[in-house]
Amino acid sequence: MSFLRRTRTSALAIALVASLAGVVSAGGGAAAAAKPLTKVVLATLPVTDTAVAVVAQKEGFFRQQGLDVQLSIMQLGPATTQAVLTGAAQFSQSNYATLFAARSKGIPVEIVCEAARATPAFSTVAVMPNSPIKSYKDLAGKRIATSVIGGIGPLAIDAWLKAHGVNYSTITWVQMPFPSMGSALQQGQVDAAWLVEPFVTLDASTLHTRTVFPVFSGPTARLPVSAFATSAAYAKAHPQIVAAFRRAIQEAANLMQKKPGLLRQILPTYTAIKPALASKIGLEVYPAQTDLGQIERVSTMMRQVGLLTAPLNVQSMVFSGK
Amino acid sequence: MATEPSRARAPWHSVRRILESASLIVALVAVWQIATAANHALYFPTPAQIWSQMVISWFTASGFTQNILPSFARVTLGWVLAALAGVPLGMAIGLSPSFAGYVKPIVHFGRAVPAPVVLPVFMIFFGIGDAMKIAFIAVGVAWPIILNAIKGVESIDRVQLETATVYGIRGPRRFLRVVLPAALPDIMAGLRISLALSFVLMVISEMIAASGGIGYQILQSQAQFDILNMWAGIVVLAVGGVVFNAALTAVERRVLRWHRGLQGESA
Repeated sequence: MSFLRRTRTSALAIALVASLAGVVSAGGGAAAAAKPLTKVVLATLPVTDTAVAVVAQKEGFFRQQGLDVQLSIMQLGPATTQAVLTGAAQFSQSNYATLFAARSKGIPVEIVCEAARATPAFSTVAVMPNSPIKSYKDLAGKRIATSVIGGIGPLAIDAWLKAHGVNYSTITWVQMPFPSMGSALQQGQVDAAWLVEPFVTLDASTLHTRTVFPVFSGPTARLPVSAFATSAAYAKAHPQIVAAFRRAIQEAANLMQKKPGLLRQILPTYTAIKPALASKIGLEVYPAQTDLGQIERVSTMMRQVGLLTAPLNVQSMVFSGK
Repeated sequence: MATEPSRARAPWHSVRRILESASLIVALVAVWQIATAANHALYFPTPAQIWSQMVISWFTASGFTQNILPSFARVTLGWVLAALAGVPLGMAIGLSPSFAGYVKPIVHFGRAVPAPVVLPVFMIFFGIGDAMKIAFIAVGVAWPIILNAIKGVESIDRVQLETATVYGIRGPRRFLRVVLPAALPDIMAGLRISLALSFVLMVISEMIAASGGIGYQILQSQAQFDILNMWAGIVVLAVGGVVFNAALTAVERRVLRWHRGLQGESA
């Protein structure tokens, strides 16, 4: 071939290869960008337990797992569990007392992964500064405010008092939302209140409430309080989505363990907790691995204080898919 | 003038009416039983199961004393208080345009505020006992009573009032013999609406700081996924509503007997 022809052929060949490569990469790129994220709804409450899901959303862990998670914030505790059972949400952040009560009635709810475990600073039984209640021994026969009767607070308090030899069955539980407990204490409508953060810090600063004992210490230390749950039907139909959700949560929990300040930054973005308060409140811990033994502590305690009447097979309600 | 049924036909007439409405209820319950029994859905127990749950946990001695009687007592007291305060207030507003000018905007504002939102406020003022619940119901259901009393007075036939003036009927006699009877149909309508509303507010008042009552039991059962007990409570509540409404209807019939005859409506 003459020099000119060879050059033209080479140029043509190179142009062809380049354009083919361009088409392939553009086509591949378009395909990757066009892969749709699975939309799921997470029913949750404006409490600190949810922080790990908020971190997973903000840091993009859900997106990396192919999920577009929309947080649906509700006000009443059992409403989140009811949302997954009716299909209004695919996942919920629920506390174990609700989950086990539902399961014991045959409701097909399933635990995806742990959300949070409580620490001593996170929750207390509080009284007014001039209250005659001086120690936990004085709590027998008193009226204590709780957000949900039969919930995780009364459960932990009953178990703690039982371990310390106090007759907890004489306590009268009075149900009211956390924001109302401060004024109820002040007006003497209740003798003591079960508080969680941020109300522990809030009521201590506005009413100078005194802590009788930290609820999650000793026998109840690091007790799992809430989990992410789904309906058994959804887990059976979409195990990959449930597994992807769990992976994203685990990554978020890992990140939070490495960067402790992240939680205090996240809290004001989805709760009514202002940044100044967020820097002071006692925090929970967010485990990266779901520990069946730890979860079973809750069901065992529920049996001991009479909230569950029959043994519960917890393992059968924990999602085991990959 | 509608003709009254003859005395000989009257008892069979009312028995037939009762049978007609009862037959529809029986048919509906039968359909409900068949549908739920066929579906075995966790959230929809059969009427037979609901009835046995009602007998086991609601129609017991403690069920009556802790739940049914206190709740219905609070409903009755709250509604009666609202009626005692609301009817005179509404009629006064209707009779006096200057008083109305001051007070009507407040009434409309109060009616617009949804009752559940102010429940925590009632807790602060009244504590968490029966007084709070009765006050909450009374204040919540007063608005339809007041507004209907206003309407009842304002919509009295002008000709009636002018005729009374022409004949020199004034003061208490005018009020008792002209104004009050003419306003009664609207007032009774307001009382009827408020009775239904007071049941709703009774349940809401038992959401916070309650330790007994029908609403409390329904809400607790729902929170702990005791679906059967929740349904039993709902049925108890519905039956209570029907009974109360029937009682009020009987009173209304007696009170408005003259009005029906005059307007030519059938009994």
